[in-house]
Amino acid sequence: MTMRSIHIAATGMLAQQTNVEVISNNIANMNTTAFTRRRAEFQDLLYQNMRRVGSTAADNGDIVPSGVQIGLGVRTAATYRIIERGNILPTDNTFDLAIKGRGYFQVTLPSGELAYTRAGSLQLSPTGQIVTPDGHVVSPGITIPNNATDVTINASGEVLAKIDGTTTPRNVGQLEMANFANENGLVAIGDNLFQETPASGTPTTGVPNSTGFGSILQGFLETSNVDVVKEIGSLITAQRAYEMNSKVIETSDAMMQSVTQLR
Amino acid sequence: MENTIYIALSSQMALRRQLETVANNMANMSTPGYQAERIMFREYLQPIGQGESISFVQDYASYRDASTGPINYTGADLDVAITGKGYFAVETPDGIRYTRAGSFTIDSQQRLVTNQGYPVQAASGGPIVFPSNADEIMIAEDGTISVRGQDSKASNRVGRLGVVEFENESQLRRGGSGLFETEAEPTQSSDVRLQQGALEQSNVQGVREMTDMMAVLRTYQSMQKALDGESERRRSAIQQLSKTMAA
Repeated sequence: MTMRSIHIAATGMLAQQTNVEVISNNIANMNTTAFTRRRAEFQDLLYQNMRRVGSTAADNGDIVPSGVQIGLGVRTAATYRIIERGNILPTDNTFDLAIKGRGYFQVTLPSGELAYTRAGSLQLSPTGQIVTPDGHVVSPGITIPNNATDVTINASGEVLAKIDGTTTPRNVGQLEMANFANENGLVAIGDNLFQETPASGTPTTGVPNSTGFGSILQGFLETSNVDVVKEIGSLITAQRAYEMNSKVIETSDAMMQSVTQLR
Repeated sequence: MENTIYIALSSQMALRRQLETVANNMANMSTPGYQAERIMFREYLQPIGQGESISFVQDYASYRDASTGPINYTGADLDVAITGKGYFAVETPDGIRYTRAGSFTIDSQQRLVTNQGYPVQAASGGPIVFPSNADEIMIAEDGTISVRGQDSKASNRVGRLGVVEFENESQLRRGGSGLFETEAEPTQSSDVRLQQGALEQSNVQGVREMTDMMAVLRTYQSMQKALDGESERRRSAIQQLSKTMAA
């Protein structure tokens, strides 16, 4: 019979390894626009009943008040995104947009599918369309006229272009946002983009600053919500927990060794 | 005749199980709401005649250390720590289960759910459903949940998180995934103390588990020594006796 404790400790080491991976990704993305930090969430595994609690101990109906239950370790249940808004950083860039409140920008991928992002560092394409840094069109496609001298995007997402030679700015489009019942249910596909899943629910779309949607701040960017000091603290805890689990394996090994030396 | 060996063996078997429990505690050092498990030993007396008896070791029960773990600030709106006594009630396909791990989220039907997707029960029973335009979620110390919409100043009450207590907590069985099951009827707690944006960490103390583990190892090894000594004693007895007989 091998010792269960070795396998139990191994699940503990694996869990801590996942923990370190999640923490390192958070630290790596501390300067990523609108990045939301993640947290690894653990759960205990199944239990084996050596002596079941509540079973009958004697014929007179006495019951076992607390049995012997041996747990089989730990597993990673989820890696959560912690939806806490980052800081709003002024950049003075015309197409840097921060969302104050709830909501995501909608992005049309080359495949035609929609993706969602809160990273509002937008640019113009050669044809004057508002696009993400990867060149994907922010839907609905808004084209800024060539002869525009100044572009203002107001809190409600109206894009106003001041055309050379005119005094009143012209409305050239309206930005739209999407909202989800369960933001944590979105699947991250990299490049600051997310896609909907059955867990997130279907998006509800609307214009910024309307009920349930955040407002747009032009010339600002949302920073990541990673708190490096907290992450380093978690990293130290994870490392020590990893070490302690490896000690359990050493102990089990020493016990098995003394068994093999039995004559 | 063989009793020495059997006594040492009973001790070693119990120690192995204790190490398994220690290993499980250590593996769950980072599991929110996890409570450490401890094994209790007792003496098992076996009469061997003439008013004498020998004692074996039996690990007859394990119990949960029900002390509250450290409360860690996480900043997530839907992380709720129970700083006092009690459990959250969760509706699973197998019936109601109880947990102290308060890391919740909202599912696609706007319900408050655990990270396995099981709805969390309100104090009045049934799930807690949020309105779709909820922007800020506030959970008061007594479990009252209110939300504030994006552009409204007033907050609306959505419901109250249920926290239940049991007369005898040791009757709760661990079901894995941080959930407990029991046939006992819970009562709504009258003294609810919750903390939003925080999680109760595992109450496993590394130092305690390490020292327990060292004690287990050393006791195991000294039992091994006893076995070795006994085997040596028997070997020399057999040799001596056979020599005497031959002479």
